[in-house]
Amino acid sequence: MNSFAHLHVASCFSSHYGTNTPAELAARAAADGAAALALTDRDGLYGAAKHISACQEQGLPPILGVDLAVQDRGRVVVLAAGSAAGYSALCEVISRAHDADPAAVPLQVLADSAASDPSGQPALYVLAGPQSDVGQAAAARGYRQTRALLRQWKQALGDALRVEVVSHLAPPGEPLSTAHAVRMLSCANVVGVTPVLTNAVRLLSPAEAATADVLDAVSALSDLNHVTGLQPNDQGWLKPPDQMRQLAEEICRASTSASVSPSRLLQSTAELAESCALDPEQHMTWGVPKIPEASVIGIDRDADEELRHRCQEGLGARLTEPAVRQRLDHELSIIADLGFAGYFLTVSEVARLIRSLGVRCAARGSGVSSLVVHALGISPIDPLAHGLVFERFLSRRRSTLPDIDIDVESAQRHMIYREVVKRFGDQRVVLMSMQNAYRIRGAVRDAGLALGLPEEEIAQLAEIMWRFPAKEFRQALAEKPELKRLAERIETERVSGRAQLDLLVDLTERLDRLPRHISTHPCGVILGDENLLKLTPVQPSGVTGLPMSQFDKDDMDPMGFIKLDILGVRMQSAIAWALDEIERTTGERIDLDAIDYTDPATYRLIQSTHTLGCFQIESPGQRELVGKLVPESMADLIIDISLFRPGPMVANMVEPFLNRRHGYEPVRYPHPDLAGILGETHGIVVFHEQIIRIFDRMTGCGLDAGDELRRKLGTERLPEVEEFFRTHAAEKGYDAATITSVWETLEGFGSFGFCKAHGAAFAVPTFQSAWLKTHYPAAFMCGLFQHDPGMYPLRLLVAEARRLGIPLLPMDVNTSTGDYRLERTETVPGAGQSPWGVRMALSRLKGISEAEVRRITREQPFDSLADLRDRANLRRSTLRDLVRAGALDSLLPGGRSRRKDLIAWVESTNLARSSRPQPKHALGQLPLPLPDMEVTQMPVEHGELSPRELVGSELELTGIDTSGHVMELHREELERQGVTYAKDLLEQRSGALVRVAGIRVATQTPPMRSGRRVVFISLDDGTGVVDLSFFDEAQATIGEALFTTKLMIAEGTIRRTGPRAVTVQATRAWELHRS
Amino acid sequence: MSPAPVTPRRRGVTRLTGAAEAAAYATERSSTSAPIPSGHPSAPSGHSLTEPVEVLADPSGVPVRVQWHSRWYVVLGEPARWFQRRAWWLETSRAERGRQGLVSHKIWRLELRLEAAPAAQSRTVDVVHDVHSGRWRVVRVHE
Repeated sequence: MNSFAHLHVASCFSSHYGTNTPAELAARAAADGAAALALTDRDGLYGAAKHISACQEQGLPPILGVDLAVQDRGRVVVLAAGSAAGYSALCEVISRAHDADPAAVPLQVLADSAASDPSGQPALYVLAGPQSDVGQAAAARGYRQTRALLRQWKQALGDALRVEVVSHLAPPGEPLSTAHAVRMLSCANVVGVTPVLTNAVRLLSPAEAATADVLDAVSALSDLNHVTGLQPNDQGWLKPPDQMRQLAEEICRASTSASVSPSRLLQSTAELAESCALDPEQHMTWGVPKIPEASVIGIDRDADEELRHRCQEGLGARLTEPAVRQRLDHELSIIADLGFAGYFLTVSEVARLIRSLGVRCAARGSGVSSLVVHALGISPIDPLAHGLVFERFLSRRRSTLPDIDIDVESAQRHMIYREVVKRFGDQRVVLMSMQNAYRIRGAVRDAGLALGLPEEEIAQLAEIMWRFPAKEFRQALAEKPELKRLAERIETERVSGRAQLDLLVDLTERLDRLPRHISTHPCGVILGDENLLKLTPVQPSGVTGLPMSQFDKDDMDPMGFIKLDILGVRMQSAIAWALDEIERTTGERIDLDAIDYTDPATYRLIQSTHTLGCFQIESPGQRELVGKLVPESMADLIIDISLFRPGPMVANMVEPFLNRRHGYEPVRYPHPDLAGILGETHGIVVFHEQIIRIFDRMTGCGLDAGDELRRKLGTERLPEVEEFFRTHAAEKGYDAATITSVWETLEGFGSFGFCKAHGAAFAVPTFQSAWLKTHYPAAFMCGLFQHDPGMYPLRLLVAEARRLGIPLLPMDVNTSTGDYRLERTETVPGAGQSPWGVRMALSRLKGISEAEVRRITREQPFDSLADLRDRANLRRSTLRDLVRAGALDSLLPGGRSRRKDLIAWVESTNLARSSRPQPKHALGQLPLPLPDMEVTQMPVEHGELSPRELVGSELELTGIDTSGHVMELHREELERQGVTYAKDLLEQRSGALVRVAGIRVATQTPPMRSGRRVVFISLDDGTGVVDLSFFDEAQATIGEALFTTKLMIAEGTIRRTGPRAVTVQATRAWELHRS
Repeated sequence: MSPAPVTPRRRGVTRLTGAAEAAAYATERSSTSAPIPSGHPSAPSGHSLTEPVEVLADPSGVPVRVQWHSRWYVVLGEPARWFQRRAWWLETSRAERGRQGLVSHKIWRLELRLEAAPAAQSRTVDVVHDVHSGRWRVVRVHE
């Protein structure tokens, strides 16, 4: 028998434990001629779906299990029997274990689950091995105790119990030595439990052992020198059958009882593997879609009929249009064929539920292509009006499950999850999880931790790492200008005998892409039928405590789980806040669905490129693109949003499009038949929908096949697509030159386009946010401050509000609340000054607690410092910081001019609560204000705060320079340096040399067609934002400072790229205060 | 004044800005690097050393004859072998992916008897095989 089945195998989905992917393990096992392969990750089935897929690919029978703690009894391996009862018992026992933190299951619960198969066969098999209390006792040579413990296990589990015999060939006398294995074997023999052999695998090969050491150190938050319980050596790897046989022989030979032969040990292992082999389709409903039962959504008739009825109701009079009627019939027949009517009704129910809660919601994603989705009220976009293709979303040929995404207000997301669970029942709804993998910065930090590098050194190193794959660290050292200094340091230290940095590079590379921790996916909700919890283990989600599946988004399709993306979008919250503030202050309720989407004022604002804060079009690159494209309609906005994607940018769709749009280049079509398809983008292929239609038009393949062909572009199946296209287009009578020219376009751009449905869905909130910024700027900025939705630091949005002439009202204990509020200002507005200001929020103060904010707002107003002290009950540090941030200026007779005295007073005075209890509201009377003795007697000694001190404390305490722009402090310096301000850049001619300066607000390295890295840095100088680009040479000149400088001064040349678009191509840059 | 929060310098932490400083720092650190903690499985019973030795092994890799101090020994019985961990992060300067033999050594405990003197008392030694050089060393002689 030259075959072996490993029954105890951890993949990298045992976070901070395993080192290899399920696919790597399965491939190696298959190559070694394994009989079957188990995956038993720690605490869950995180890698299970990947394991099943990998085993199917390798032709291996899959086995699933878990390495699980049993309360007070150490860890055991729990394997699902090869049955439906076995798999669901495994899911349930894991979920039960996660009721505890850290996860652990009571022995009795485990025993009950193991006996839960009505057929009488064990549903679970439990392997008591070296990590169990039995194994620990055996390691300590407590022979009697070992037997006593094993008897308890046997009593609880009966036939379901096995003893796991493991030797990692550790030094004699240590755990996982052969002697340890021998003790387990003889104990099994004495107590009468069948032994099985495993290798407690956590490594693919011994070469991964160093990675496992690092993971052990990191999970213990320690360094390698101090961590205890490292693996004894590198032998926990997926050994091939002959080595496992040798181990069996060695263990049995060393056993004095000699009653177990190696063959029997291997035989009992093989038999258990056979009992546990799963048939994924039969036992796990693998690949079979599961949706809530019709009865749950209150449908008593056929789901297809119900769907048709609801769509017809939704479309109303439009049904008289033949095109609408035809499209509806087309979509409904496909949905009926696929059996997805229930899914659409479910999503529709969720959308209805969200709206009934008064929460803003908008559909997104390819689902927007569907008229059914529109008719059900899930999406406001009419797919016919935008030429969207249903087959991009769903077709008889699509093998994947449909996916409808719903954007909601981010602040309401958790509430919505709870309501969805309530509506469908907690047995049918779970949240999806997400595996977070190591990237360069995290990997450097953890590798540094394991090596025991000083924390600050690690932080400095992580800061200069900028978005490259961690496994290419050494290569990056040779290539990246910002790492040049580090590379030199490594060289120097190597020479002087310090190898830590060299090791750091190697270990960082080893950690790349390993799963780090699991978290709740930001939007995925899994909706299933009443059996959902028998098919996925769940554990409490960190944020909401709602049950979260252990499966991630890649597992949904294979597991047959239908997920609904309910994505919290901060912009939706910001818009909701703005609308509420307008209503609160004026009584006016604006319906954003009813605004004029052709409003010229809004387009003027967009064209001005002053789009900070606007959804999708606020990034430096988008502001430049908007300046070049000059959008005039929703159709333009859709194109703009679609062009500003990695695909179209890399494929260089942007320049030709702009040239044709502005008439610098004639519009040509490869063939007149394509004019209708490509007309909207002047002959340039931008949208997926256009590619689908070209395939259909020129080959007659149908839209569904067109989408299949499109998906194969840019894959290794490209040649077969070309063959198909050329043959069928020729049959349709297109000439060779046309075919070749169209094919070149498809080949070049086909895999890079963007789904127009996405663009159309994004364009709506984009316009809405720009409309609000145009017509209600103060309310809009207030909403942005409250929910901070963008890519920039909040202080930039505050600077933008200042630029717009919106009064920024300082934090004040008497008027500020926990939120940003719109406030009518008393002063007569000057030219360009808005009558509405925004009052800063108390919650922005660093270190203030929610309870303190609540007490302040509950007790407002205060008439004196003593009053505040007594009624708000603030910590000394909070009171001091409120004073420093100016929140008490209004209580001071001299206002801001006396703040310095007050700071000194707060810092020096005993702030014990006044001894007399406050008779608050006693006997229905208001308390008499105490004379504020201390403050009136406060000596005038400290003078006024300088602007530098003022802004400095604001930034330190709130992160926002409210009273004035931070760059004001450097005004003289900037004048001296001859700096050109952002507001004046547009007047510069292209090619002019300029010096610019400001505080860094954004750093980006978008994908470039050339494949070379261009670094875009945006500086805020108080008059607006300067966008700088750094090409190779400039990057080399600047080095490390490229990513670390906060206050930057730069030199470069003006590049004018459109009527309103200007950037500075930098040649040199340095830190402002160094100059 | 800088608007960026400045991390306060902490005692015992060196901010390295240049190659010269780094070199000085490295020298200092390597002279003060943490000791191997006790509890690592290296505490010897008997007499530790490291001495090259020539070993002849059978086709499955099990040592059968040993030349030590210019004399030939035979290996008695079934030698025990195990894998012993190394504090590789202190002992090596590289740990790139795929590097073999980084984390543990294979150690054989051999009972040796002089080939030329079958009546002589046997001695027990631990030998280690270095996967990179292919060389064997005696690391412990049991008294």
